[in-house]
Amino acid sequence: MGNYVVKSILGAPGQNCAPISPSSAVWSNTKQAPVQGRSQAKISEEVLAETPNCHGQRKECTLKQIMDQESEIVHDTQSLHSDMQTLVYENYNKFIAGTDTIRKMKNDFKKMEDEMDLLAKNMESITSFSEQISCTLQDTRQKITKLSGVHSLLKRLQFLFKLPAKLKDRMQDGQYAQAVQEYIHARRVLHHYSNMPSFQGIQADCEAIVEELKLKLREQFKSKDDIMEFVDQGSSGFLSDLCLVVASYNDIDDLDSFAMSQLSSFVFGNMERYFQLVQERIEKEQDGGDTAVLVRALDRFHRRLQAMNTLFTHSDFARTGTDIVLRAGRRQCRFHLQTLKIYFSDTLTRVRQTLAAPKLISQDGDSSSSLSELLTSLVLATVEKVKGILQDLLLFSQPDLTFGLKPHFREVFCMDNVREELVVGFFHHLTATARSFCNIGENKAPPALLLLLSKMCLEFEGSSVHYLLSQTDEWFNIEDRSKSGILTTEEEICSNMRTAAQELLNHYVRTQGLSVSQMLRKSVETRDWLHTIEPRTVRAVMKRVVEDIAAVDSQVGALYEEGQRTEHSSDSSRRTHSVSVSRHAYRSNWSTYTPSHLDSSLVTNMQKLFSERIEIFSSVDFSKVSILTGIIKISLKTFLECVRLRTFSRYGLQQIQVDTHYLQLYLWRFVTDENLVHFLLDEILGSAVHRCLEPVLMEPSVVDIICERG
Amino acid sequence: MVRRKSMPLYQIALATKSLSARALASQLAESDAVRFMVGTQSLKLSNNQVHIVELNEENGALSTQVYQHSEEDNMCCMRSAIWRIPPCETDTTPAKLEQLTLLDTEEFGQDVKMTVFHPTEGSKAVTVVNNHFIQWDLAAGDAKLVCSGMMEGKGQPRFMVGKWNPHQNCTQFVTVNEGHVKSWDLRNPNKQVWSIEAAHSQVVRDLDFNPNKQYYMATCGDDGCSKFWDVRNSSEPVVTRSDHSHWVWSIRYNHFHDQLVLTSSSDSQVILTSVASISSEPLTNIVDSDENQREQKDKLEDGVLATYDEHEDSVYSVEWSSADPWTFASLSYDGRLVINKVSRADKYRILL
Repeated sequence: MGNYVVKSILGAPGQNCAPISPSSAVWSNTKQAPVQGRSQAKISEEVLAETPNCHGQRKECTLKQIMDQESEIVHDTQSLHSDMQTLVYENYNKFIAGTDTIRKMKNDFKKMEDEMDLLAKNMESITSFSEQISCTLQDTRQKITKLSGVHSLLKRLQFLFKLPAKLKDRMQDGQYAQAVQEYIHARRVLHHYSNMPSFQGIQADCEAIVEELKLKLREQFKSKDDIMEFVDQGSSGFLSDLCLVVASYNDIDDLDSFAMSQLSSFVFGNMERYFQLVQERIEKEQDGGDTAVLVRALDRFHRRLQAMNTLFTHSDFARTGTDIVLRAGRRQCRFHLQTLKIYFSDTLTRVRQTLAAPKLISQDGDSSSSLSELLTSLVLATVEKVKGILQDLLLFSQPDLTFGLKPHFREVFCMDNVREELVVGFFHHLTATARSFCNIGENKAPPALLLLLSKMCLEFEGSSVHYLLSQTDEWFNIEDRSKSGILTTEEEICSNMRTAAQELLNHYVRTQGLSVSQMLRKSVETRDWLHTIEPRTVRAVMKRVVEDIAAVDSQVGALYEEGQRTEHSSDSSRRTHSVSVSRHAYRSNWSTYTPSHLDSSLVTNMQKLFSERIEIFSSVDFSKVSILTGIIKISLKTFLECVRLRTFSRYGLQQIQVDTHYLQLYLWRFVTDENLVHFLLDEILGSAVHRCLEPVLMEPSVVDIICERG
Repeated sequence: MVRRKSMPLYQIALATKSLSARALASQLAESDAVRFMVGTQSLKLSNNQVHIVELNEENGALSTQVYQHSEEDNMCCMRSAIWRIPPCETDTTPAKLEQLTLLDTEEFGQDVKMTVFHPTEGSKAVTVVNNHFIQWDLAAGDAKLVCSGMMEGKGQPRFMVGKWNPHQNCTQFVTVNEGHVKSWDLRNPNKQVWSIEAAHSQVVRDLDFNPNKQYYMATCGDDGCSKFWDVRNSSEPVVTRSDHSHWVWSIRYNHFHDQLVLTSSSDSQVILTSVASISSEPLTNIVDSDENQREQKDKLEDGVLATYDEHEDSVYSVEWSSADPWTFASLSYDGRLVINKVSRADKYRILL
């Protein structure tokens, strides 16, 4: 910037401008940038260089002017001088500082050098020390290497020690392949150490086990394809030999009767033994064998006998063969029925355990879903199981089997064994098992189980029985119409199922009713009703009763439909406002129990005349409200009977009044006919009035308040 | 067995002043007239009455004599007293019962359940209070305590019912607490002779002995069942019946034909049941003619013979008449007494 300004001054010599301005401009310029040392020096030079030029121009000036100018120049020079001095002073400091720094650096380097020397020395000593240490540790290290070698060896040998036990375990678990693998792995080692006595023992043990293993494997090998092989051998070996004998006898003409009888007794004797052997073999096979293999073997056996029959016409061996096949079929069916029974009882145990397990999550929502889950597991899984077994048995009636087409076989196997004995038999078993839970003497079944079983029977009645029976009839080509009367009808089974469901449900109602009743009975029996204080709250037991009934409601609701309620008024809004409406009706009813009118039990008697007799322990419908009505009836009736056995003071009676009102508020929603609840609660309060020394009832409004407070 | 509905023979409403009633007895010493006694249940002693109802078997008319309890200061507590029925008077005003002695039960507790006379001797009685049974000697006019027995156990057991066993020389007294039945030897009152634990799954309400078979006893209770026991085998009943739809409050053997048993229940019904299979009378007649053989088909079997549903409230007691083997009375809470007879057909089946 400085440069630029100077140029403009130089470029203006011919111009008639104020002579002061360049210098002042220069001055101001230098003033403006006093710190820029280098450029300032340059400027001063140029200003000075300019002066001779100026001389020429200033010749015409007055002395005064020159004097002024001179003094001005002197002044300027002085100030420039002083400026220069300041600059030198200022920068001098810096020079000194620089020199100091350099000197300091020199010192530091020297120090560093010393320290480096020291370090080098130290390093040397460390090296020597470490060499010394490694020398000393040399021995120990060698020892450690040796020890670890021994350790790994011992580890390997330990495997050998454990080998017999391991082999035994494998044998027990049936993991033969692994056992063999392990033995082979260890064999060489064992052989290597066989000269040592301790290893000899192990080897002996292992060999014994392996011997056993070999036996087992051979046995398995033998039994594996043995039914097929057995039948093949029997057919191709024994039967063809026998056929050959018979054929050669037949070829000889003119045989006397003695020879013939000899032949036939020979054939009979052998056949009998053969049948016996086959029978035994089949029975052995059936204990958990493969049905497909069994059926194939039976087929082969039966086919061969057919051939025998054509050759030896004196006896129907094929018939005996069919009998053996049939016996096998029957055994198979029984075996499966047994499996089904075991399966069902296992399922029940599981269900019981699930029900008995403590409920960790809140009672409603969750328990209901788990109940319906359990029901599905009971019904669907059982149906599937039966279906699976039927499919297994279907192998017996494949059309390509020689015995499969015989009507005799069809009749006995398909109808009697599969349909009647297995399927129908299992249904009977189901109902019988379910019913056994109703016996009072039986150890107490959890109520939820009763409910579940009842619903299960109902489900079977509704669809599963029909499904399984029709499936059976279809798969095994059973025609019902031709032989009506012989087969158990679907209706019969269904009605059995329904009765069982009903019994279970009734029992459920009784059990649940009883548990609520016990609570009520204890609460009435143990309290001193003569010396009780004025009621301020509803007794806790009443809340418990309502809670329990609500719990039962949700439990039943999980499995059963809501059901029909008796509507007493066509007004549909009534249901929602029922509490207040019925409360008014209730109150007006009870107002007859004012002390002055206590004699008039006429009202209740009139009511009785018009109301139906209430069956307490009666049968219930398969609907939620009906079940709940049953339970509530039993509970309230108990309450009534217990109240009649006690004596009440005025406050005792009022407590009953509060309690019944509370029940009235909450129980109506559960029952088919709310009048029933009103009636029973009326009876309870009426009886309490009868048994009261000073029958004064509480103001209904106070009762309301107490009940609303809860 | 066919369930038959029978028409009531006689009904009478005793509760004129809305008195309720639970107590019914037949007049045991009376062997000529069919006579029943009914006690009302009111909290005021002076309101209470004893009605003696007699059935005239000639014309079927009922006559009632009312006896009033004496006026006394009103304190509500349970006591037991022996009363005398004053000689019959003809005027209609209720006669007053005469109190012979007030049984001193106070030291044994407040909950006086019942006092029962000895089956044959009128001078002996037993009172059941709390967990005690107390035997009295009434011969001297006022009651003298003979002996008392007590049952102890956890949860303060209380006797609900007591009954004198008419067999074994009347030396045994049987009590009920909750569902358990226990028999005590009165000669050594703390000695338990036998017991049936959990005879019913709930409370036992009544029991009765078969008058003709010494080891047979009937019980009934809140489980709605009637059970028949051979007390020598306390593990399970011989016969169990479950015909009522609510608690069974009373069970009575017929004194003459012990195959006939009456039960009354809070389902408002009285049921006449046959337990011919364990009756003292032989089940099968000796067959000596064709006529008998034909009848044998119609022999009495176990089961319900008749259901009587004239009552409209709980029936707490039922009693056979001591005079006529076929007549019985039942009493419901609302004070209605119903007298019925065993049907002619059933009668013939037993007699012929």
